[in-house]
Amino acid sequence: MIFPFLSGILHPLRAPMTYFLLVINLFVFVATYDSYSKTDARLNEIMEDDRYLETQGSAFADMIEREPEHFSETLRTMGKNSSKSDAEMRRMLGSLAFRNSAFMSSAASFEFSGDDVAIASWKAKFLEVEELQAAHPTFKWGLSTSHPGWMQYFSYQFAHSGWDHLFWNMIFLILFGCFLETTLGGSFVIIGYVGGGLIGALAFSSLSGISSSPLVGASGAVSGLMGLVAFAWMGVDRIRFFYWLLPVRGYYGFALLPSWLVLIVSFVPDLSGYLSASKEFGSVAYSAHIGGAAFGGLMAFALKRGWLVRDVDDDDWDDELEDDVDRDERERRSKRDDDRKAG
Amino acid sequence: MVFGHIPYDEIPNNDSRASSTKRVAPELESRLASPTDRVAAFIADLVILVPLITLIASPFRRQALEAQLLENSEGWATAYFLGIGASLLAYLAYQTIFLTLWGATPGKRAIGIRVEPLWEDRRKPRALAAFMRSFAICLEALCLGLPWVAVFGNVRRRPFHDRVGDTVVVAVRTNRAAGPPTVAEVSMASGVVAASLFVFAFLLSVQLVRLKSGMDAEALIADLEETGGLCAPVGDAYRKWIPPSGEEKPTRVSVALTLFQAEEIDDECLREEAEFSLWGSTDKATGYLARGLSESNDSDVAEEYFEKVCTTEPDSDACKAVTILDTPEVSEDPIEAKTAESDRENVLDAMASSLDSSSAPYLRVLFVKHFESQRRDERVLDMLEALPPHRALAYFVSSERSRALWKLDRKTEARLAMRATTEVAEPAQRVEVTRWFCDNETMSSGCSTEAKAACDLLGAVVDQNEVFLGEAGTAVTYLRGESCSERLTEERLSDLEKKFSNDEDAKSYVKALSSLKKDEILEATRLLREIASGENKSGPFFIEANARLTELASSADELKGVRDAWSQSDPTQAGWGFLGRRLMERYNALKAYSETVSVGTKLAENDGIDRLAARPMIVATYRSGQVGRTLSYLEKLGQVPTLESLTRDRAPASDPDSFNEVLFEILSKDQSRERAK
Repeated sequence: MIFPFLSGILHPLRAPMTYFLLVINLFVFVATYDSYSKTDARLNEIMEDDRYLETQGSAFADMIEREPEHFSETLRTMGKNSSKSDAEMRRMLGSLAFRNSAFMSSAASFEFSGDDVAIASWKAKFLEVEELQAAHPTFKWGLSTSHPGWMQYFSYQFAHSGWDHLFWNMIFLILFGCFLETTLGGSFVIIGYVGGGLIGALAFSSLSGISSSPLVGASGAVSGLMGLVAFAWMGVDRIRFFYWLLPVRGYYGFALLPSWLVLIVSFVPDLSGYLSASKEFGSVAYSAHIGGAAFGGLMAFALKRGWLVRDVDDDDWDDELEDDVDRDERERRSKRDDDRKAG
Repeated sequence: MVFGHIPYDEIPNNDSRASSTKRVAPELESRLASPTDRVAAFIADLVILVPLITLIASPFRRQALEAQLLENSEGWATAYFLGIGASLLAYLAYQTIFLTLWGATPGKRAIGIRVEPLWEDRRKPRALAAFMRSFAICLEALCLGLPWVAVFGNVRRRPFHDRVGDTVVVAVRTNRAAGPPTVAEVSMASGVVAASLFVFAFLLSVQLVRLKSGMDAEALIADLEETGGLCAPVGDAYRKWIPPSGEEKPTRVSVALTLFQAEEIDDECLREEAEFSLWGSTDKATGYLARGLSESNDSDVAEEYFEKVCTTEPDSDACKAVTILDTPEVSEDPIEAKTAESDRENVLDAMASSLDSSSAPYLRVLFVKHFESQRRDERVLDMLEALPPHRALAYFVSSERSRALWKLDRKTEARLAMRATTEVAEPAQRVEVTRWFCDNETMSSGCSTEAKAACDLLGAVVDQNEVFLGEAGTAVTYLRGESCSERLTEERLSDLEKKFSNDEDAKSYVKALSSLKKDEILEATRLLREIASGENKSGPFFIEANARLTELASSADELKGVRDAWSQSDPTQAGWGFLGRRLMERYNALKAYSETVSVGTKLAENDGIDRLAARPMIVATYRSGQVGRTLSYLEKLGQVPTLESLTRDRAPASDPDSFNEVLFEILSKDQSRERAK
């Protein structure tokens, strides 16, 4: 296990912008938690109901068969197979139908031909799903075919689909935000976050396509910060990582390693996730992460060219950055020495 | 250069085992990398390797995933193996390039160890040696990394891959070096290898057994894929279904419904077939009917489907089936209720008569069940005759026929039909049919030769597979059969007690049988009363204990306890009718006619009276002066013997209260009355 630890978790006063972003994320989550918990439980209950999924799968297959031009080749073949395969295949198709905008937008009024009794019962629940989604905060704040407005390109960066989702994104926001804020300044954190999120959403909509399943989470935005660190420090200086190889003393701890390792441990898996996931089945927005990281790379490029920092000569940039890092390291060492002496 | 100065003849020629007699060159001994460092370096390499390999294999992963979803097994296998090949190439390239360039992979460099050629005057291995070493690591992975354990056992800590590449792994800094393995390490390595080989051999044998059984499953899947079917028995029956000449083959869902009614497939199987039919828009009316029947747990949903059948196709056979299945509300007014029931029967009779060779086969199966419930066994036989001779229906037709013949008092034919049924039945079905016959034979004639024969057939199946004894009903009948058997010795009884050691009721019942065998009637009665007064007031052992107590009673007063227990038990429970009939017959045998009529009336209200049960009621009602009721029970007999045949068959010293004597008396009076007219 290895992950960038950088300057660690700093006091809020040393990284106010980072903590400002953290507070917004927390505030949005807490403020929407009530409507989230009310709608999410029922929505999950319906989405996990086998009978509902089977009927939805059969209905989806029926729609694909009758209007094949709206669906991909993969879905067309799956639809054909589902009618003569087992219930599991129909359930899978039913789950995929939730992500398919063509199905979700027209299913309520579509005249399905099949088990009319099952369809009637399914349709009643489907309308309930639509109502629940309309009231669900991740659908309101997230970027989806039902909410594709420009506002959602920003608001999705502050909405999360659960506590665990929020927790991990905030951990990485603090680690990278604090480091950037103390080295480059708070404005880089804000621009990196919002710009990374925006470009991430644009990359998602152009590479993966907006689906009826909403895009939410700060991961695209945090990827912007991670990309900025990875590219800006590349060839300049090493950054601090925490590693844990074996549960034996000497095989875990901190190490100064090249910043490109961030790309290896974070963005290469994203790239392979994007390349290996089929458009219809992916649940992680890999393309949003890649887009965010690309924005971070662009910022780093601009930074190194001196376009983003006034009063710093292009040629002196590397030295300046090295000085900053060295100063931080010196401060840390002298603090440690002081502590030892005091101890 | 590290080892160049060591003369060749000083280098041990066999380094596979640590030995006190062999010495490693002192300089090398002081530089060998520790196994912990090597493991840590491997994990550090994974930090880079795993994302890179995942990236390279990702297009193949996507292809494999899509092929799997599309059930394209060939495409999946191709993508899967290409993915593995690409990953292996990436690994080989990573190892070869870094070892050739740096003498260490990034992970090794980070930890501070490196790979050096053993025999050459170089600090880094040549490309070919690095490649061969990496390839050997891949082979080691196939053996679950077991050869790597040699780092603890080999004198130079060289596992298979180091020996293939003629390399040795050394620490960059001597203070991290480990030296040659100790005796404890060597012993541990040998132990690990031996234990791993043992576990591997065990898992391999388990896997081989699984593979063998898996091949059968694969054949089934292949069959399903070939037919495009969902439920294998339905697909099989559908393919082999031969329609009557000139008629069309029934639809697949119609075949499924027939098999379901014949209890050859379960409701899950029927549901899949129904959905296949409904969403494929073929024979939708039958599809709705099948879907409704598959919803046995939710009567509201089932009702919705049944309603849909007749709105989809009002004149279809499926709609007729709904009429048969429909249970109309019973009016509170008994006359109205009787009229409604009679009208319904007339409608169903007309419908049954109108069936022809083009009618759906499930209709006949439904009518078999309907007439069986109405105790109209002649009609049951008619319907069975008209069912197509299909292998999948063989058990249903044969078992129903044998039961109907028995109820029609054509016992010899029934026994032959039962024997024919056991030929076509699965073990569980054999248990079902032989159990029914053992029950009825013993009830009708005690431990007669025929009863013993039927019970022996049950015993033969159950003895082969004792899992059937887990079902209390089967266990009771099995024990009843045993009680008739000549082989019921003390030794056999003790075996039975052991066999049922976990079931208190069964154990007490075996003890009661043992007491009866020794003519200890009081002890047997005590044990049977103990079972009858137990917690389970409706289980098979409760019924059986009461039935046995009925047999042991010598006066009507002694039957009071059994009668009270029977009256208080639930009439819908299995065995209730059986106990009621035993009670009625026993009262009749004891000439307690008012009690016979009372029990018979309650039985008729709740369970109905068939031809066999009508006999004691005819005797009891006639002897108690209820002649009107006698005539109504005479109707139940169907074909009444003639006076001539009764006169011919009368035994010289027969009981004047026996059925034949009473019938003779009734018919004689009738004839006298006719003559007087």
